[in-house]
Amino acid sequence: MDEKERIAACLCGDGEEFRQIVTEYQGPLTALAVNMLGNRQDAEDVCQETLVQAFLHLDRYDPCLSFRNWLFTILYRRALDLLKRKRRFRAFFSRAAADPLRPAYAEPDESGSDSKALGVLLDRLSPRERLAAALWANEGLTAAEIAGVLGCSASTARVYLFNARRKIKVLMEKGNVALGNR
Amino acid sequence: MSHSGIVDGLYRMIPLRAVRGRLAAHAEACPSCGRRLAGREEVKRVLISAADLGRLDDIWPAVRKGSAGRRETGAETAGPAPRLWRLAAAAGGLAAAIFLTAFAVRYFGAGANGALIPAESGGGFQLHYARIDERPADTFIVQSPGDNIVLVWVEKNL
Repeated sequence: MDEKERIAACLCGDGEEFRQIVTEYQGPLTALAVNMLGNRQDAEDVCQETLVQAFLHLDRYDPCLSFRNWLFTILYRRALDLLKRKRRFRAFFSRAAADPLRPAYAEPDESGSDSKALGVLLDRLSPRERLAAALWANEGLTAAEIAGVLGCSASTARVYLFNARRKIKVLMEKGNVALGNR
Repeated sequence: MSHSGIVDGLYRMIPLRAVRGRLAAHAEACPSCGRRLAGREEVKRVLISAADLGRLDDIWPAVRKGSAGRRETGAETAGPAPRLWRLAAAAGGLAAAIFLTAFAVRYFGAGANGALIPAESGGGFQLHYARIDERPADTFIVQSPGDNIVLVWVEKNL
Protein backbone atom coordinates (compact mmCIF):
# COMPACT_ATOMS: atom_id res chain seq x y z
CA MET A 1 0.00 0.00 0.00
CA ASP A 2 1.52 3.33 -0.99
CA GLU A 3 1.28 6.57 0.93
CA LYS A 4 -1.75 7.99 -0.88
CA GLU A 5 -3.69 4.75 -0.36
CA ARG A 6 -2.67 4.75 3.28
CA ILE A 7 -3.93 8.31 3.72
CA ALA A 8 -7.18 7.41 1.96
CA ALA A 9 -7.58 4.45 4.33
CA CYS A 10 -6.98 6.72 7.32
CA LEU A 11 -9.65 9.11 6.04
CA CYS A 12 -12.05 6.16 5.79
CA GLY A 13 -11.52 5.58 9.50
CA ASP A 14 -8.68 3.07 9.52
CA GLY A 15 -6.53 4.68 12.18
CA GLU A 16 -4.07 1.80 12.28
CA GLU A 17 -2.80 2.79 8.83
CA PHE A 18 -1.58 6.01 10.36
CA ARG A 19 0.77 3.92 12.47
CA GLN A 20 2.85 3.23 9.34
CA ILE A 21 3.00 6.93 8.65
CA VAL A 22 4.12 7.60 12.24
CA THR A 23 6.85 4.95 11.96
CA GLU A 24 8.05 6.31 8.63
CA TYR A 25 8.19 9.99 9.54
CA GLN A 26 9.03 9.98 13.23
CA GLY A 27 12.80 10.00 12.61
CA PRO A 28 12.98 12.78 10.00
CA LEU A 29 10.50 14.92 11.94
CA THR A 30 12.35 14.52 15.23
CA ALA A 31 15.70 15.27 13.57
CA LEU A 32 14.28 18.40 11.98
CA ALA A 33 12.88 19.52 15.34
CA VAL A 34 16.21 18.85 17.10
CA ASN A 35 17.96 21.01 14.51
CA MET A 36 15.46 23.78 15.07
CA LEU A 37 15.09 23.57 18.86
CA GLY A 38 18.47 22.13 19.89
CA ASN A 39 16.87 19.94 22.51
CA ARG A 40 15.81 16.34 22.03
CA GLN A 41 13.09 16.36 24.70
CA ASP A 42 11.34 19.35 23.15
CA ALA A 43 11.88 17.90 19.69
CA GLU A 44 10.15 14.65 20.62
CA ASP A 45 7.22 16.56 22.12
CA VAL A 46 6.88 18.72 19.00
CA CYS A 47 7.14 15.67 16.75
CA GLN A 48 4.38 13.92 18.69
CA GLU A 49 2.19 17.02 18.62
CA THR A 50 2.79 17.36 14.86
CA LEU A 51 1.62 13.82 14.24
CA VAL A 52 -1.45 14.29 16.46
CA GLN A 53 -2.34 17.45 14.51
CA ALA A 54 -1.79 15.69 11.20
CA PHE A 55 -3.96 12.76 12.28
CA LEU A 56 -6.75 15.07 13.44
CA HIS A 57 -6.67 17.26 10.33
CA LEU A 58 -5.84 14.70 7.68
CA ASP A 59 -8.96 15.77 5.77
CA ARG A 60 -7.31 19.16 5.19
CA TYR A 61 -4.32 17.64 3.41
CA ASP A 62 -4.24 18.39 -0.32
CA PRO A 63 -3.17 15.17 -2.11
CA CYS A 64 -1.68 17.25 -4.94
CA LEU A 65 1.07 18.39 -2.53
CA SER A 66 3.80 16.38 -0.86
CA PHE A 67 2.58 14.74 2.35
CA ARG A 68 6.10 14.89 3.81
CA ASN A 69 6.29 18.64 3.21
CA TRP A 70 2.84 19.07 4.74
CA LEU A 71 4.12 17.36 7.92
CA PHE A 72 7.25 19.55 7.86
CA THR A 73 5.03 22.64 7.66
CA ILE A 74 3.04 21.59 10.73
CA LEU A 75 6.24 20.78 12.60
CA TYR A 76 7.81 24.12 11.68
CA ARG A 77 4.81 26.04 13.03
CA ARG A 78 4.68 24.02 16.24
CA ALA A 79 8.43 24.42 16.81
CA LEU A 80 8.30 28.16 16.13
CA ASP A 81 5.39 28.44 18.54
CA LEU A 82 7.38 26.63 21.23
CA LEU A 83 10.40 28.88 20.69
CA LYS A 84 8.20 31.96 21.10
CA ARG A 85 6.66 30.62 24.30
CA LYS A 86 10.10 29.79 25.67
CA ARG A 87 11.25 33.31 24.89
CA ARG A 88 8.28 34.75 26.83
CA PHE A 89 8.99 32.35 29.68
CA ARG A 90 12.66 33.34 29.83
CA ALA A 91 11.80 37.03 29.72
CA PHE A 92 9.40 36.61 32.62
CA PHE A 93 11.90 34.74 34.76
CA SER A 94 14.73 37.09 33.84
CA ARG A 95 12.69 39.87 35.40
CA ALA A 96 11.98 37.67 38.41
CA ALA A 97 15.69 36.91 38.77
CA ALA A 98 16.50 40.63 38.77
CA ASP A 99 14.36 41.07 41.88
CA PRO A 100 16.64 40.36 44.89
CA LEU A 101 13.75 39.01 46.97
CA ARG A 102 13.10 36.31 44.46
CA PRO A 103 15.30 33.32 43.83
CA ALA A 104 17.73 33.38 40.96
CA TYR A 105 16.74 30.97 38.27
CA ALA A 106 18.70 28.78 36.00
CA GLU A 107 18.30 29.13 32.25
CA PRO A 108 15.99 26.47 30.88
CA ASP A 109 17.91 23.32 30.29
CA GLU A 110 20.08 23.44 27.23
CA SER A 111 22.13 20.45 28.20
CA GLY A 112 19.98 18.31 25.96
CA SER A 113 21.69 19.77 22.90
CA ASP A 114 22.83 16.89 20.81
CA SER A 115 26.25 18.20 19.89
CA LYS A 116 28.64 21.06 20.41
CA ALA A 117 28.37 21.88 16.73
CA LEU A 118 24.62 22.20 16.98
CA GLY A 119 25.01 24.42 20.03
CA VAL A 120 27.18 26.83 18.04
CA LEU A 121 24.71 26.78 15.17
CA LEU A 122 21.85 27.54 17.55
CA ASP A 123 23.68 30.68 18.62
CA ARG A 124 24.55 31.91 15.16
CA LEU A 125 21.69 30.82 12.91
CA SER A 126 18.05 31.87 13.22
CA PRO A 127 15.41 29.11 13.55
CA ARG A 128 14.35 29.68 9.93
CA GLU A 129 17.94 29.47 8.71
CA ARG A 130 18.48 26.23 10.65
CA LEU A 131 15.28 24.78 9.25
CA ALA A 132 16.15 25.81 5.70
CA ALA A 133 19.60 24.24 6.05
CA ALA A 134 18.20 21.02 7.53
CA LEU A 135 15.51 20.68 4.84
CA TRP A 136 18.07 21.31 2.12
CA ALA A 137 20.85 19.09 3.43
CA ASN A 138 19.00 16.26 5.18
CA GLU A 139 15.79 16.08 3.17
CA GLY A 140 17.02 17.31 -0.21
CA LEU A 141 14.35 19.95 -0.61
CA THR A 142 14.71 22.74 -3.18
CA ALA A 143 14.36 26.44 -2.37
CA ALA A 144 10.80 26.40 -3.74
CA GLU A 145 9.86 23.45 -1.52
CA ILE A 146 11.49 25.08 1.51
CA ALA A 147 9.44 28.20 0.72
CA GLY A 148 6.30 26.06 0.83
CA VAL A 149 7.20 24.78 4.29
CA LEU A 150 8.17 28.21 5.64
CA GLY A 151 5.22 29.95 4.01
CA CYS A 152 7.37 32.53 2.23
CA SER A 153 8.54 33.26 -1.32
CA ALA A 154 11.19 31.11 -2.98
CA SER A 155 13.46 34.15 -3.06
CA THR A 156 13.16 34.58 0.71
CA ALA A 157 13.78 30.86 1.29
CA ARG A 158 16.88 31.15 -0.90
CA VAL A 159 18.11 34.02 1.31
CA TYR A 160 17.60 31.93 4.48
CA LEU A 161 19.48 29.04 2.91
CA PHE A 162 22.27 31.28 1.61
CA ASN A 163 22.71 32.87 5.05
CA ALA A 164 22.78 29.46 6.72
CA ARG A 165 25.34 28.00 4.32
CA ARG A 166 27.54 31.10 4.50
CA LYS A 167 27.47 31.20 8.31
CA ILE A 168 28.25 27.48 8.55
CA LYS A 169 31.17 27.91 6.16
CA VAL A 170 32.55 30.81 8.19
CA LEU A 171 32.16 28.84 11.44
CA MET A 172 33.95 25.88 9.88
CA GLU A 173 36.78 28.05 8.65
CA LYS A 174 37.15 29.62 12.07
CA GLY A 175 37.18 26.16 13.60
CA ASN A 176 34.14 26.82 15.79
CA VAL A 177 32.30 23.89 14.31
CA ALA A 178 34.27 20.71 14.60
CA LEU A 179 33.60 18.49 11.66
CA GLY A 180 33.15 14.83 12.12
CA ASN A 181 32.87 15.12 15.90
CA ARG A 182 29.65 13.17 15.94
CA MET B 1 38.45 42.29 -5.50
CA SER B 2 37.38 38.89 -6.73
CA HIS B 3 34.03 38.21 -8.35
CA SER B 4 32.73 36.35 -5.29
CA GLY B 5 33.97 39.18 -3.06
CA ILE B 6 31.91 41.67 -5.06
CA VAL B 7 28.81 39.50 -4.80
CA ASP B 8 29.37 39.09 -1.08
CA GLY B 9 29.89 42.83 -0.63
CA LEU B 10 26.72 43.63 -2.57
CA TYR B 11 24.82 41.11 -0.46
CA ARG B 12 25.97 42.79 2.74
CA MET B 13 25.34 46.33 1.51
CA ILE B 14 21.89 45.87 0.01
CA PRO B 15 19.37 44.73 2.60
CA LEU B 16 16.54 44.34 0.09
CA ARG B 17 15.24 40.78 0.16
CA ALA B 18 14.48 40.73 -3.57
CA VAL B 19 18.06 41.72 -4.43
CA ARG B 20 19.49 39.32 -1.89
CA GLY B 21 17.33 36.56 -3.34
CA ARG B 22 18.82 37.15 -6.77
CA LEU B 23 22.34 37.25 -5.39
CA ALA B 24 21.68 34.06 -3.43
CA ALA B 25 20.35 32.38 -6.59
CA HIS B 26 23.49 33.48 -8.42
CA ALA B 27 25.73 32.16 -5.63
CA GLU B 28 24.01 28.76 -5.80
CA ALA B 29 24.82 28.44 -9.48
CA CYS B 30 28.24 30.13 -9.60
CA PRO B 31 31.22 27.85 -8.78
CA SER B 32 33.34 30.78 -7.58
CA CYS B 33 30.67 32.10 -5.18
CA GLY B 34 29.68 28.56 -4.20
CA ARG B 35 33.10 28.04 -2.65
CA ARG B 36 32.14 30.60 0.01
CA LEU B 37 29.13 28.53 0.99
CA ALA B 38 29.03 25.26 2.91
CA GLY B 39 28.19 22.33 0.65
CA ARG B 40 25.40 19.85 1.27
CA GLU B 41 27.72 17.28 2.84
CA GLU B 42 29.35 19.89 5.06
CA VAL B 43 25.96 21.10 6.30
CA LYS B 44 24.89 17.48 6.87
CA ARG B 45 27.92 16.89 9.06
CA VAL B 46 27.05 19.69 11.48
CA LEU B 47 23.32 18.96 11.66
CA ILE B 48 21.47 16.11 13.32
CA SER B 49 19.97 13.55 10.98
CA ALA B 50 17.43 10.83 11.70
CA ALA B 51 20.27 8.27 11.75
CA ASP B 52 22.04 10.20 14.54
CA LEU B 53 19.04 9.86 16.83
CA GLY B 54 19.41 6.12 17.23
CA ARG B 55 16.41 4.05 18.21
CA LEU B 56 13.30 6.11 18.90
CA ASP B 57 10.44 5.17 21.23
CA ASP B 58 7.21 4.10 19.56
CA ILE B 59 5.02 7.21 19.85
CA TRP B 60 2.01 5.73 18.05
CA PRO B 61 0.13 4.92 21.31
CA ALA B 62 0.65 8.52 22.48
CA VAL B 63 -0.44 9.92 19.10
CA ARG B 64 -3.58 7.77 19.08
CA LYS B 65 -4.40 8.66 22.68
CA GLY B 66 -3.75 12.37 22.10
CA SER B 67 -5.94 12.56 19.02
CA ALA B 68 -8.72 10.50 20.61
CA GLY B 69 -8.70 12.73 23.69
CA ARG B 70 -9.07 15.87 21.62
CA ARG B 71 -11.83 14.41 19.49
CA GLU B 72 -13.76 13.55 22.64
CA THR B 73 -13.46 17.06 24.06
CA GLY B 74 -14.31 18.53 20.66
CA ALA B 75 -11.48 20.98 21.05
CA GLU B 76 -10.12 20.29 17.57
CA THR B 77 -13.32 19.70 15.66
CA ALA B 78 -15.57 22.49 16.88
CA GLY B 79 -13.85 25.09 14.67
CA PRO B 80 -12.21 28.29 15.79
CA ALA B 81 -13.78 29.92 18.82
CA PRO B 82 -14.77 33.60 18.68
CA ARG B 83 -11.71 35.82 18.93
CA LEU B 84 -12.73 37.58 22.16
CA TRP B 85 -13.46 34.31 23.88
CA ARG B 86 -10.10 32.89 22.85
CA LEU B 87 -8.28 35.98 24.06
CA ALA B 88 -10.16 35.90 27.37
CA ALA B 89 -9.38 32.20 27.81
CA ALA B 90 -5.70 32.78 27.02
CA ALA B 91 -5.53 35.73 29.40
CA GLY B 92 -7.27 33.70 32.12
CA GLY B 93 -4.90 30.77 31.67
CA LEU B 94 -1.86 33.03 31.72
CA ALA B 95 -3.08 34.92 34.81
CA ALA B 96 -3.66 31.61 36.60
CA ALA B 97 -0.16 30.45 35.69
CA ILE B 98 1.42 33.70 36.88
CA PHE B 99 -0.58 33.62 40.11
CA LEU B 100 0.40 30.02 40.83
CA THR B 101 4.05 30.72 40.04
CA ALA B 102 4.10 33.85 42.21
CA PHE B 103 2.38 31.94 44.99
CA ALA B 104 4.89 29.09 44.72
CA VAL B 105 7.83 31.49 44.75
CA ARG B 106 6.45 33.36 47.77
CA TYR B 107 5.36 30.26 49.67
CA PHE B 108 8.36 28.06 49.04
CA GLY B 109 11.03 30.63 48.29
CA ALA B 110 11.02 33.31 51.00
CA GLY B 111 10.88 33.28 54.78
CA ALA B 112 9.47 35.97 57.07
CA ASN B 113 12.45 38.29 56.56
CA GLY B 114 12.63 37.65 52.86
CA ALA B 115 15.51 35.19 53.14
CA LEU B 116 15.40 32.18 50.91
CA ILE B 117 14.48 28.91 52.54
CA PRO B 118 15.62 25.78 50.73
CA ALA B 119 12.82 23.36 49.98
CA GLU B 120 12.71 20.19 52.06
CA SER B 121 15.26 17.74 50.82
CA GLY B 122 14.39 14.18 49.92
CA GLY B 123 11.67 13.01 47.52
CA GLY B 124 12.45 14.62 44.16
CA PHE B 125 9.91 16.87 42.45
CA GLN B 126 7.73 15.12 39.89
CA LEU B 127 5.07 16.48 37.57
CA HIS B 128 3.51 14.00 35.22
CA TYR B 129 0.86 16.01 33.43
CA ALA B 130 -0.76 19.44 33.37
CA ARG B 131 -4.06 20.31 31.72
CA ILE B 132 -5.96 23.58 31.28
CA ASP B 133 -9.54 23.40 29.95
CA GLU B 134 -9.22 19.64 29.48
CA ARG B 135 -6.31 20.07 27.08
CA PRO B 136 -2.62 19.36 27.62
CA ALA B 137 -0.88 22.54 28.72
CA ASP B 138 2.71 23.54 28.05
CA THR B 139 4.73 23.09 31.19
CA PHE B 140 8.14 24.48 31.93
CA ILE B 141 10.02 23.43 35.03
CA VAL B 142 13.02 25.33 36.29
CA GLN B 143 15.20 24.18 39.14
CA SER B 144 17.77 26.62 40.43
CA PRO B 145 21.13 24.93 40.95
CA GLY B 146 21.85 26.04 44.52
CA ASP B 147 18.60 26.76 46.33
CA ASN B 148 16.73 23.53 45.78
CA ILE B 149 13.73 25.50 44.54
CA VAL B 150 11.51 24.37 41.72
CA LEU B 151 9.44 26.82 39.68
CA VAL B 152 6.63 25.53 37.51
CA TRP B 153 5.17 27.54 34.63
CA VAL B 154 2.01 26.15 33.08
CA GLU B 155 0.73 27.88 29.95
CA LYS B 156 -2.43 27.22 28.01
CA ASN B 157 -1.71 25.65 24.64
CA LEU B 158 -3.64 27.69 22.08
